[in-house]
Amino acid sequence: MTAVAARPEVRSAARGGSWVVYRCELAKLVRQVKVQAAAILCLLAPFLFVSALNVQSNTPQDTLFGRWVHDSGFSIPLVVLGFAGQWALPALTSVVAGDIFSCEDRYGTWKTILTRSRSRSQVFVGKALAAMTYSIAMTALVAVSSLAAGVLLVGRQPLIGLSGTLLQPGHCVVLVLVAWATVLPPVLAFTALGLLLSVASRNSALGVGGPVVIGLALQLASLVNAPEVVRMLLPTTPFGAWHGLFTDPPFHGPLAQGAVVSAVYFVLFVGGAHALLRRRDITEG
Amino acid sequence: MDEPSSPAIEALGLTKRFEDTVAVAGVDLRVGPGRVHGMLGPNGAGKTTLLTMLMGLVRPDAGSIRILGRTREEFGARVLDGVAGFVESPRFYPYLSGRRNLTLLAELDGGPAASRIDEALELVDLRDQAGAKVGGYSVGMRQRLGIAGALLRDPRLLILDEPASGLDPAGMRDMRALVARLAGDGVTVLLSSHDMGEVEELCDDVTIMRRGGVVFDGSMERLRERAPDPAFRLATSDDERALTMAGDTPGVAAAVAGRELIVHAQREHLDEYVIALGRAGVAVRRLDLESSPLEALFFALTEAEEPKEPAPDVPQEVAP
Repeated sequence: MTAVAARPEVRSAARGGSWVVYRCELAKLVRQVKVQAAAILCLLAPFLFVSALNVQSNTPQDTLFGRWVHDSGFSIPLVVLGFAGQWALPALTSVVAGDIFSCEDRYGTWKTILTRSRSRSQVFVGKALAAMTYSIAMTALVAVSSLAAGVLLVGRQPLIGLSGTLLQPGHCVVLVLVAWATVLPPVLAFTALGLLLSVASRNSALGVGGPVVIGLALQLASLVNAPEVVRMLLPTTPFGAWHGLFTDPPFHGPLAQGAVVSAVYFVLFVGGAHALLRRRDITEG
Repeated sequence: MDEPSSPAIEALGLTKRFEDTVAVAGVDLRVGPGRVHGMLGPNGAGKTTLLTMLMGLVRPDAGSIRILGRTREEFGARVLDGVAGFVESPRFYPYLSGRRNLTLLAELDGGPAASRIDEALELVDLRDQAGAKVGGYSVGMRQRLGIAGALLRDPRLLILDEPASGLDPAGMRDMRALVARLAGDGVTVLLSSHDMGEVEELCDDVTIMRRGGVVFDGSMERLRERAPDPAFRLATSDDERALTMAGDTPGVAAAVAGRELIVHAQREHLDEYVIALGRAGVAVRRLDLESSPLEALFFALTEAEEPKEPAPDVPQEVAP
């Protein structure tokens, strides 16, 4: 041993420990094929969607703004948002959130990372932040890509709002981006659900598939004749809260309600996942 | 922080249950600074559970742990500052290269760890394969990468669980040489092993576990003192006569085992016995070491009906 044995005191660098873990997790994520594939899908899918719409005359009329897909490019990101909120965003977020803890069980690397002077809480926070970053980034990517696809392949025509008023292009851009931003709370709530399932099940299939199945089941539940209060408390309901932005006058009640509901689920899921990880005995993995 | 003479590891009354199974039962362990301490025991003895508790991976149900003078209660994750190693086989992210894995670990460690990557890879002879994905590594290569990952932390205490597992004979030799070298540099080593020869070669002290408890704890010298005579498997041209002659030779005991004899004797007595056999016209056709004294003691301690030396009475011999 030469320099290795030089032994300056190993410092734990406890300060910013979560930030260090976060950076490591991001470095790992960008090298994963599934993340790269998801990013490419988010980027290309809206363009493929618009291309497919352009070669057919009929429109997805049962979807909000679906009837305007040939008339205004700003309808495209809203149609995509309507679809995405039903299952695509829960699926997209769970790709990482549902796997980010259980992959350590799959690879057997818990013992490797938990013996490096980083506390479990730091590891948890770093991983959770990385999963949230991915979820936000993918949501933003779909938003921007679908807006670009609409504008580039359909055009910048004004859009007719839900109250029949004509929304000018500049206003449409803002409203579309705000509408996409409003799904971030439920996206983060589903990310938290993925984290919880990932920690609790130690199984990536359950972690990734669970939020999708739960999201779809809750969508179905919202369609049956459930009491309004139940529908309001479902974590999937906030995905549609943006509708009020396109009325005249706009109504923001569902947005606030959705944000609160999402925040409650987020805290419960993240808190549960954190507690489980902290108490776990790492005997395997 | 830690005093120079304070134990590198001081665990008292460690107990861990998994449902109805008591994996570790009130174990005391003291590892002196700068010592190489072996942990021996058959499968299920509790060695790995003990190591996982020391590394903070498993919470003890009872007992206390002080590592390099620090407790987890006081220092949190910093209790592992200056500590490195692995429990069971080291594992890495298969989709990343060996070097990238070490870079991530160095980033988690912080400080100058990243600057040690090249040297650590060189030491474990992985520099040429460092760019390949770990998914394609052999067990031995992952084992060596695990050692490299430990060395990044410039440890003062190295905890190694079966470090030679999966290595070819040359790899084992290199691994033992590396451990000896680290020990020579003053690094305290806690080494879990199934291999009595490895422990005998490397360790100053040894703890032998059985069924979650300690059946021996002390220096290698003390273990050797307690060890019985080595056993040899002997085949002769006249086993009956050889058996009779064994009874007449001081320091030699023999018994029939199938078509051969098992002879217990120290080497000097064995020499006298073999010479006597030759003089008596009894040809020695085969003479093999059946078990070394330490192996014999290990089996006696770990396979006996009840522990020979229950944990509470074990005198701790912690080197200064």
